[in-house]
Amino acid sequence: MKIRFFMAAVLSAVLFASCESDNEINEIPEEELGNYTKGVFILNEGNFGSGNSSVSFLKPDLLKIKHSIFIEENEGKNLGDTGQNIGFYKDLAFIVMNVSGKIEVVNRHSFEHLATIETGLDNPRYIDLYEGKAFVSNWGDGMDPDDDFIAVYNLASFELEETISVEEGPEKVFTVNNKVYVAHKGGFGFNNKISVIDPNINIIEKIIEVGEVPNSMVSDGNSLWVLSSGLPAYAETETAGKITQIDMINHQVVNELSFEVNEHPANLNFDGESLFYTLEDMVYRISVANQKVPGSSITEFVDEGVLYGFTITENEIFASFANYDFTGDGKLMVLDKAGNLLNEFSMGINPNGIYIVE
Amino acid sequence: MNLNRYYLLFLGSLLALPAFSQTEPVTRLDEVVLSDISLKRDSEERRVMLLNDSILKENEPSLTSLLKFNSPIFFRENGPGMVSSASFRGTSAQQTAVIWNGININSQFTGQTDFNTILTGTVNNISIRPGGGSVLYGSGAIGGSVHLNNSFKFDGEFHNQLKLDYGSFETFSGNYGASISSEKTSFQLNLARNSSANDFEYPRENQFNENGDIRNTGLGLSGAHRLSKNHLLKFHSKFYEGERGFSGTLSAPSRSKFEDVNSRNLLEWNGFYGDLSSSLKLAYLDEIYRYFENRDTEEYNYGRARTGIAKVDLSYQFSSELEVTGIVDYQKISGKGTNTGENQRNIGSLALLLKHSLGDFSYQLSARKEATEEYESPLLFAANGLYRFSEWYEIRLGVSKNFRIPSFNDLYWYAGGNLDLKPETSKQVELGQKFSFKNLKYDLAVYLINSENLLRWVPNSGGLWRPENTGEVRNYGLEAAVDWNKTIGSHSLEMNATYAWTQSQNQETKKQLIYVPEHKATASLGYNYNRYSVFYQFLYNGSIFTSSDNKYTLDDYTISNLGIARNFGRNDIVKIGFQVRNLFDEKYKSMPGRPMPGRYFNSSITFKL
Repeated sequence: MKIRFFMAAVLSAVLFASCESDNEINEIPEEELGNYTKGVFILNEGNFGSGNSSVSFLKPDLLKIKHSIFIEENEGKNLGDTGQNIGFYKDLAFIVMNVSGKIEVVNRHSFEHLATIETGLDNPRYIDLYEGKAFVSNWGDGMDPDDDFIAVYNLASFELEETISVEEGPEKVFTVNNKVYVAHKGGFGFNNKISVIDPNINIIEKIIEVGEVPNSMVSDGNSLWVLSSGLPAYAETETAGKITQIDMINHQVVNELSFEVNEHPANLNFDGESLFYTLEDMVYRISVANQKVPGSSITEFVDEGVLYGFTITENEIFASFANYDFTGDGKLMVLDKAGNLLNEFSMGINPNGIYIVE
Repeated sequence: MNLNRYYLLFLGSLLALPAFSQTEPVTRLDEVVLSDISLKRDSEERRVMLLNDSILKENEPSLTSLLKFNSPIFFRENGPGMVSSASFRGTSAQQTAVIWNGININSQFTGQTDFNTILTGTVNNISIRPGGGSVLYGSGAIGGSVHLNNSFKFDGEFHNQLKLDYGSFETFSGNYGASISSEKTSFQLNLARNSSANDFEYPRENQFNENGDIRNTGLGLSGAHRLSKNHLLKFHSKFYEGERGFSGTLSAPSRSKFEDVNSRNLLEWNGFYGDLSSSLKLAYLDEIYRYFENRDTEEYNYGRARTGIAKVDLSYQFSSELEVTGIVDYQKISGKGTNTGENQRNIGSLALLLKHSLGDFSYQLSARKEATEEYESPLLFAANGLYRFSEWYEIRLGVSKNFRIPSFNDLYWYAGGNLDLKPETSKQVELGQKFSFKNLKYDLAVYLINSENLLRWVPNSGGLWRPENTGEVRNYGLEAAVDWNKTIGSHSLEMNATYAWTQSQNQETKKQLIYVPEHKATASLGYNYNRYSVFYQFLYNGSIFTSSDNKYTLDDYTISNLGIARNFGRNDIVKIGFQVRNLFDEKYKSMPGRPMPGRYFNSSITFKL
């Protein structure tokens, strides 16, 4: 995906189009510590250049919704431009603001603003946390394939600890089993790598080749599954989407599941038993035991908007939609695992990520 | 004269021309000091607003500032001097055509003109022609067209003028214009140089406009020579080079930069053979852009389009009441760019126009058909009539079908470009009336425009944006303009005002389109007394929706400018002026997240020889 000046106002939203599928929340406290201790956060990225990003919160009853909680809890302070991702660690939440080039740190129970991280970021994309450290993927200049990096921050001081130079287009960051996995989707170009970083020494241990344009990762503790969308139709050669299963001990590819050449899936999720993904506006499930590309979908979203955020829990499917022209309020749909609609909410502008805290 | 009718058969063939009688060439010559003959031919049955040289000089040097304060056209700007696009009668940026000496200069890549890349200092008159004009001006003349013209004088004099401006935010502007002519030959040279740090403070935000610096240079050279009683040769050459940082926003920094290099050349030969007149135009346009995501690096995207145009316009005057014109036009466009690859497009067109005057009633009929490789072009037409009830009251009625062709980006964009596009088409009807009493002119027009097969970029279910012919929009509204002037002794007063009420509805959702204000009003007042002059400008921009669900808006705003000047020296050789812009320090935005400057100042000195 590329950004171009003339269409920036209209098209730029798509540049940041990448749907969330964060999987685990660290360190969940037993008792409620604030208004937002349990429930669902939805990040609305807003419009590129307009500085109208916001966070919505759905209470655990999945009935009551509250919008613009950052502004509300912080005396009208503006969140910034193009919220890309939220990471959680102990009592903290980290909101990565892509276009503003900063990370807002809040207390995740009260959403009270604690700090702003600005140093060491350049076109920041995604964040994950591990043992008192934050790992943030950065594209640098989109046009420059050689300036991409992972910024490592110390969470005691919120100071930059180290910058790890990486391959082009680091996108999702996923910490599991004492490793940080970075999916290189490609910045303005395409890439097909997973970098494995040892978070204790901030060094890349291994680079694993996967399908073209890896967009999401999940794990059951033993295997890492990477979903790649494949090269789009406008690339020189269109390629099929692919699910790559990687052994997390030796980091070898143990299995690959290919889609049709014109199929470009996204939003890989794992609910403990099955893998879920989306293909265009359809939702599919694959049993981990019997890995086969399924013939039929669980459900299909018809004319709801552009599918922009997608998360699975034990009992629900959460899907968020941007309007077709990426202006105005998007929406959130909550479905059961069979695909029946439970509830639907109006969201802020362009909701791109859904985060469950419990 | 009637015999000459048969020569009509030879329209399109220059060979037959010398056979015509030569009756009144001199008066005809005077009429065509403008290269845009169609504009002149057309200006009775339609409304054409002329902004003359003195208005151009009162305003800031870009076309955006000029039109913002002096016309019903609405502009959205990413900050002062940044990318600026027009909406005329509620239409899209690609539905306003910019015409330079009769040639359409909208970008081949975007289909629109960035009005901040047009310097008013290198042209000497600018006209605004509301309503459809695709028959004469081609793609994009739907909401209306803006005409940039260099006209000639054959007065045997030498004029020479230098204007220097310096103002807030280290804004410097220098304009030099010279013209020299004899009875046979006329030349003019215009130079313009502008630069600004443009680092104004966002009103009451405690933040500055960063990376918004501007530098540009314009050069214009025009010449005309009477080869004989019956032949006139003209040329126009224009060069523009601009470099801008793309400014940051309230919540995001920027380090990108944009460069434009445009050159435009036009050679025209007019022939007059009694009742027949001809115009042959050859034009060569070259547009280049470079976009640097990070201005500190050498990495950039670029695009370059070169257009060659040959145009023959033949008019035959059957009588003083009836004139028929045929226009044959051929264009070859070669474009290449980082995002569009290398492509060529050839467009040929044929147009026929009839202008008939029957005493108090006059009308024009015209039609045009284009042919090109990539898509089928519709037959375009226009019919305009004028009825003069009296010296002081006239009404006019117009209907037309116009279009906007797919741009190079629409067709060839590497990710999403769609070769199956059709032109978007638009039908419109307009009713206007004009009152003129002594020093007062009042014009009121209502219009309805239905556009279909709109070329819009929409995401598909895989998230890829592609242009498609989708949707219908209905625009309707009202435009009013008042002009008044009065001179008493050595006092003279002039007032102009415009008002536009605009509805622009998506026919599927019945919602107002984004970035179309329902109300816009402008007013200006000029007062001269002896060597002193004062002007006051006023702009009201109604609120606009920024989302298609009409849930988000940008507030309305009111801006005033005030300027004073005094002439000095023998023959008023020096003029010193001072202007305050945004006099009341209005806090406003033209685009979300992008505050515009509060009150700021400018001073100028003009030397006139």
